[in-house]
Formats: sequence, C-alpha cells, structure tokens
Amino acid sequence: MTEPPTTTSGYKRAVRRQRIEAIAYPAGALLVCLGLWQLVIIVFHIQPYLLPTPAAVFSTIIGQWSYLISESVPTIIEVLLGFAIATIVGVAIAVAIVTWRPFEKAMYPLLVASQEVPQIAFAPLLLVWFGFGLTSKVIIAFLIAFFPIVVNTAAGMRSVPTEMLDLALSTRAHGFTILRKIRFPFALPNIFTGLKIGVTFAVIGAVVGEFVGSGNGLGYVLMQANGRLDTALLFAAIIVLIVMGLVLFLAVSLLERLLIPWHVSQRNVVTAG
Amino acid sequence: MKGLPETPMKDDSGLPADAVTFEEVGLTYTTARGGVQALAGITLTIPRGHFVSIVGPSGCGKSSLLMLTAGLRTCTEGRVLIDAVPVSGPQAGTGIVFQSDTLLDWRTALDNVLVQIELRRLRKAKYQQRALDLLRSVGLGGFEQRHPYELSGGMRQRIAICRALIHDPGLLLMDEPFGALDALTRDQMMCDLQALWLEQRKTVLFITHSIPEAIFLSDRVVVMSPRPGRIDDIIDIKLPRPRELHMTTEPDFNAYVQGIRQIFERRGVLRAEPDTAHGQPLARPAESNEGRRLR
Repeated sequence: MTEPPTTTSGYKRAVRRQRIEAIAYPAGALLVCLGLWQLVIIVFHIQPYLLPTPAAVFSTIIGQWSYLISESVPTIIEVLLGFAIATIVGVAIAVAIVTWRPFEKAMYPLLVASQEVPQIAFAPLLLVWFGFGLTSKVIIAFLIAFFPIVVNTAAGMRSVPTEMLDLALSTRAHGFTILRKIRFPFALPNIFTGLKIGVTFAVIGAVVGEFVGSGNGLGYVLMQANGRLDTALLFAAIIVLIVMGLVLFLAVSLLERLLIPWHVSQRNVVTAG
Repeated sequence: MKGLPETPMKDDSGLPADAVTFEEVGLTYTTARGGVQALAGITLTIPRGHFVSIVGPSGCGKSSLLMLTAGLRTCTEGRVLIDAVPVSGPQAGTGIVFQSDTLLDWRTALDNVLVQIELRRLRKAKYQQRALDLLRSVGLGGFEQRHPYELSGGMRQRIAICRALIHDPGLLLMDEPFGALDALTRDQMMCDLQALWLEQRKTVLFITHSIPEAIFLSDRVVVMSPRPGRIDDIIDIKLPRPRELHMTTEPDFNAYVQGIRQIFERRGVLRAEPDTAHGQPLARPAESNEGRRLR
C-alpha cells in the first residue's frame, strides 16, 4: 500500500524509447508518402502546373520564406484573436447554460440549430458588414471555433457526479463557489478537448475569410498562387498553414499538460507493447 | 486529536439527548407515472454519541433517509429534527461520506480534506493542523501531498472520511461508505472506523446493506424493508467494545446476524432457496463476499 512509484532505469529507458517511436514512426510514414509523390510525377509525367514535385515545393518554401512568413502574420493574428474571443465567450455561455436553467432552455436548442447553418456561408455577408480588414476574419474564425468550445465545456461541467454536488451542497457553499472549485476544474479536460478542436477550426475560419476577400494573409497567397497556376507556391502556403495549425494545437496541448497533470489522459506514459 | 478547534456542537451540555429524531417521516417522489412512496412512517431517535446503522435491501429508501437527515432532500410527511430543531436544509454540524469517495482529482489528499473548510468559508489556516492530524490518525501520514489517482480505493475513502470530520461535525452521515471496496479492505476499514468512533464519539448514522458490517459497528441496528421503505425492527447490539474481527465468527455475533436474516426472510427479501419464478436475485455480489468471509 505504501510503495513509491517505480523510477528504475528500465522505466526511463522505456519512456525514452516510446518518445523516439512517437516521432520516428510518423516521420517514416511521411517520407514514404513524399517518395510516392515524387515517383507518381516521374512515372506519369505530370506537369508542374498540375502537381509540383516535393523538391520544388521545398525550394519554394526556402526561396519565398520571407514572403510566406510576412503573409502568415495577419493570418495568425486573425486566428489568435478569433480563438481568444471564442474561448472567452464559449466558456461564459457554457457556464450560463449549466448554471441558469431558463437560459439553457432558451438558448441551447438555438445554439445547436445554429450549427446546422454553415457559418462559412456567412463569410461574404460578414465582409460586406465589417469590410475587408481584420474584423471580418476574426469574426469568421470566432464563429467556427466557438461551438466546440461551448458544447465541450457545458458537457464537462454537467458530468460532475451527483454525489460530488450533494457533498458540495451539504457545505452550504454558494453556487459560484461550487462552480469555481468543483465544476470548472472538473470540466477542464473537456474544455481542453473543445479548445483543441476550436483552435484548429479558427485556422480554417481565418483562411476562408481571406479567400472571400482580403489583401493579405495565407488565404490570399493561396488564391493568388491558384490564379497564376503557381502550384509550388500553393503547396508551400498549405504547408505553412499546416505547421501553423500544428504549432497552435501543440501549444494548447502543452497548456493542458501543465494545467491538468492529474487527468487520466496526461498520465501513463508507458503503455503495453 | 489534541488542540482541535472546537465548535458549539462538541459541547454536549445544553443539547438534547437525542441528536436526530425522525417523526412519522414519509417521502413520496413524483414521477411521470404518479407518486412513488420511498419512505413511510419512519419514527426513530438516534441518541447523541451513538452509532446507528440502517440495513435493508436496495430500494428500501435507506439512502433517502440519509439525504433527508443531511437536509439535501425534504420529506413530504412528518419531520426530521437535529438537536430538536427541524431540518430545513444542509447543516453546519454534519459531515457526509458517500459510497464513492468523491475526491477531487486535481487536489492533493490534504487539499481534498480542506475543501470542506473552503466550501464552508471557514478559516483554512485554522484547520491545517487538524487535517494533518486526521490523515495521520487514519494511517495516511506521509501521503498528504499525493493525488487521489496515486492512492488505493481504501486510502481514498479514508481521505473522504477525514474530509467529513475536518469541520468537527456532531453528526456523521455515511452512505454505504465501504460498498465499493474489496472484502479485505472493508474489514480493515470497519476496524479503523470503530477506532475513530471510540476516540471521537460522534453521532453516526451509517447506511449499509451488509448485516455483519452493521452489527460490528453499531450500538443499534435499524432493519428496513422496501416498497415503501419502513422500519421493520430496531435491534440493540450489546456486544462489548472494542469489537474485533474474530468476534464476527462467534455465537453471540452470529445470533444477531441470524436474527436480522430471519427478518429479511420473513419479508421475502432473502429466500432460503433460489426462486427463479420471481426472478430478481437479491443476494448481491457484495453480500456473497461477506458470507464467504464470515463462515
């Protein structure tokens, strides 16, 4: 009953091996895919304006590096602003849904129904309303990122076991205290699930906004490259977008790891096999 | 438990001799199909400092009775009094332990005990030492900074018991606190709870479906039968204390077990032979464990 956790060198070796495998396996698979890509172009004599070679894409990334980076800046600002607003508004609405019954009854069905509306369809209208600048893209990113955050946060705060709530009620604690000390921390794993989906969606929202009308950003680069049939630049911009999405996702994951080290998903580094 | 902060509940003088009184308590739930009577005509007193268990099959309303006492539900008939005052909501002097430990995963053992203090808006610094003492008294000294996921089921439930005692309540309510533990751990917890009770002499209302557990721990066992839940019999347990595990196999103890079994058999809650015609096997896995353990 009192044995400390095992911290033998064998355990550490197993952890290190798993970390290496976690990178080596997908990296290997990626290399195979790139090789196939190159092979397909050579075998079928595909024209570069249809599909560039991986090497051409790579050299475009290197050659156009400063251009791609400078165009990334407005996109990332739109994503971060949209995501931040979605997080604040999403969590606030989830709290209202969980703590205030009439609000839940009134808003939740509307909220779910509103998700059947493709928000992207509103992008042109939002551009008319808010202009071609930053605001319209932030709003589109917000609209798309917001829903998974609300739903997951509300689900997390609702899943507090009845006995835990009974215990809290038996202390005559205020509703707000229960929210702060029990419901909210309990929901953190779900909140982070919502945030991880939300941040990915926010990137999509910002790029779609730039598609519809913009003078800068990676979405604008994509449209420009597409118009010139510059597929190498198109792929280069896509890859920058992928990296951006990955970095944002990993940043949220890192925050999750720091904030909820107690959760099941953050434990058991060594698994069977 | 020296130098613990005192609350008025601790002071017995001036308080009525009965800690809890049930006066013709009834509870009817309203469902889509109409009213379901969970409890009917419950009249019972729990003297101050006594350990009283309620045994009964699932669905006899014993947990409802505990919720009424905790002020978390309101009875539809009669009334519940604590220290001669009708219960109208959660009390200052009550501690609760549930079947699941309901520990907060993100808090250490110590902070899980102190959450009671935080939620009650009491001064945390005043109770820090008491929390450490309590954890040590249940054998968790050295585990104060561990998180629940690092601890076994028995250890977790010990923390839950400490949490129920940290604010020094006069009344401890326990709803099948050992129901989720393995047989061996249950035996150990039973002994430890008795030791804790002998030391602190709290009034305890203990809900269980284990007959031996109820007899081992209690001054008085209340036997309930279901639909609607009502009191069948109240049995005073006159076994000397401290009680030890070997006593559970001795004739005096077994006489009590048999006595309560017979009440259940009379009520059709327990059947001597398996009765497949009526379905509904009532011997639950936990109870078959106890049977094995006590033979």
